[in-house]
Amino acid sequence: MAYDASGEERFTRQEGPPGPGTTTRRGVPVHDRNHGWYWLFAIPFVFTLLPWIYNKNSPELFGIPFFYWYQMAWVPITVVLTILVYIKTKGG
Amino acid sequence: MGSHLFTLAAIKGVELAIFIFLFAVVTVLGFVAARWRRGETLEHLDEWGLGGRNFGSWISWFLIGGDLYTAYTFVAVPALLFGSRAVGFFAVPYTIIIFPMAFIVAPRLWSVAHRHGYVTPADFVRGRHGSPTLALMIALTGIVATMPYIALQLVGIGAVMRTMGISGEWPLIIAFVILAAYTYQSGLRAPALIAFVKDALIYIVVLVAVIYIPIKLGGFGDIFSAADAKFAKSPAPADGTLLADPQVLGYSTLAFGSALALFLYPHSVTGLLATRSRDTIRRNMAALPAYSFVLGLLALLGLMAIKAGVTPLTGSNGKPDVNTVVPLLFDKMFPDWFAGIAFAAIGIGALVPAAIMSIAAANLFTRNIYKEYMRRDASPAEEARVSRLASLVVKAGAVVVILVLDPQFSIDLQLIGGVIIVQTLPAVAIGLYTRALHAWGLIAGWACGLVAGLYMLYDTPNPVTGKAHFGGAQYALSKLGLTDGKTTLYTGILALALNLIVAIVVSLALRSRRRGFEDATTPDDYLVEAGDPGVKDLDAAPEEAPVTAGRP
Repeated sequence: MAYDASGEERFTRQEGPPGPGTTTRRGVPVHDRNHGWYWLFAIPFVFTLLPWIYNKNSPELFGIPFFYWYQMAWVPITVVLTILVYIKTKGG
Repeated sequence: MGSHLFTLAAIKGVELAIFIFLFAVVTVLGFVAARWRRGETLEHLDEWGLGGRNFGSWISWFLIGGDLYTAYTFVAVPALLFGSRAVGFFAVPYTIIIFPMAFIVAPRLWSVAHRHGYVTPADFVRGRHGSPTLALMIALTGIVATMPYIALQLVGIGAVMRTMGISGEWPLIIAFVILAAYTYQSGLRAPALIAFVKDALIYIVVLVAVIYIPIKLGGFGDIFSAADAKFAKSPAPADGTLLADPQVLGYSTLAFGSALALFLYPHSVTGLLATRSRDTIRRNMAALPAYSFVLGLLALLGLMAIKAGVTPLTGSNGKPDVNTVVPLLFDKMFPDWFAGIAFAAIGIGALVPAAIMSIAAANLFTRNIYKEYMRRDASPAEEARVSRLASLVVKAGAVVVILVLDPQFSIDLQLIGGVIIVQTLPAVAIGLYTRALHAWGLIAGWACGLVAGLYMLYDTPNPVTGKAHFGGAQYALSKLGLTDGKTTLYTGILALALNLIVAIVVSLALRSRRRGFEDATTPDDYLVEAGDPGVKDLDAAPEEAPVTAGRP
């Protein structure tokens, strides 16, 4: 038996024209769009997971070696990318 | 401390008074939380175990942040930098890449869980792959990985207590008894409410610390020179200014593997499923990195401790306990009253994740063991009752483990926990996208990954601490005959690779034998948002102001 823990009536099939891009076949609105924007997330992966890029001391910032401030800098950069992707993929 | 006539004087009065006061405040909050945003009844797992599944952006930010960044993290990451410098900084790339991944994957879990009333990751696996056996494996893995994590929160409180001059075990026991009582009473609402206090304190303390302490120590330049000098003198090859060449791959695989593991932990899933909507999760993934920035700053405290000349206190096993480094630094640099606030931040920081973890482990027991194997027809009220009792057992177990066994044992177990929890990735995370992997393939892969991971951990010595086994989660590639150098990789990633290979091979072999493993979900179950047809309608709470994404 299919495992459903909600104890509620299962979602019933909704007949109707399959609006391309706005609903799935069963009439559920599509909330994610423009999935291509997810590829922006490849950027922080590449630049933080390849330590060869930043495993050095100079240039320093306020006396902090490059290794440390560079990685910290990717926090706000990733936040900006996430906000951008959020806006671009937000759907109805 | 100076010499005093009697030992009680070694206890730091002002620090302790402030610590106890703030602890009392959150205790009251913990009990009051039962009435906060109350649903119709607490006698339902959605209420007790998931806080009504109705937390908006702000509450979720505090709750998930308070959940993922634990007291142990706050003392252990700086301690790593204190001990071996560069390698400990893996926590920063780790917590950078985790949120984009969760941004993409977690909303799917939210949708399917809300459509079907799933409370735990194993619930989802049960419905998706149609195999109670696989679900049991996932549930047991989650419980085993979570238990030592709870125990380690006690290590965090213990480090603070010892710095304040309090030794002995009774303060830890009292703290956990109080925690157990209000978690039993209020469920997930207790840590959600306390998380506001915890995170506010943490942000204040860290911001003050990273401005005030470097000024007193003569700036970051001096701090890093002192660290350089210390590591230059040390004979160990694994520490130093930067990553040594053989460490580079280990560093990035550790960051990547830890990121894969984090949202597979049951307590992370609990935080995600307690949110009101997919949109809440997506917003939070833009706002949660504020904690990562704080963690990076905290990590630097470990280096400041070197410059400040901190010497770790001796632990109960007679060896120096590096986890006391950050509390000692605060004690040394701050006036007493602020050190008290800082200690309270760490102490309360232990309570929030410990509560959520015990709730998550209790839910796994209730849903995937008790209801599945003991009482098929358990009512929602009975589920809530069993879960509450189970949360008490889980906490009692954690206290016993930390008191009876060497704390090192919990640290070893937690190391194992990270390696084994990532073995649930194929069933849970890949399962959110495809059923291409057969249930038996997933079970076989899980078993192989688990055994291989445990063996590799057992086979890892640590020359610095003199341990012959379980010396760390970095496995030398030379042991696999791949290289003859010193290059290491994160054990969890190696075990996961084997897991995936086995799962794929077995699934290919069984690809025509699908009968008996039905999928309870449909493709659009993974896309629904709150308010859509078929999604449980939850009582609308008053609108909150939306989080301005990314603003700490």
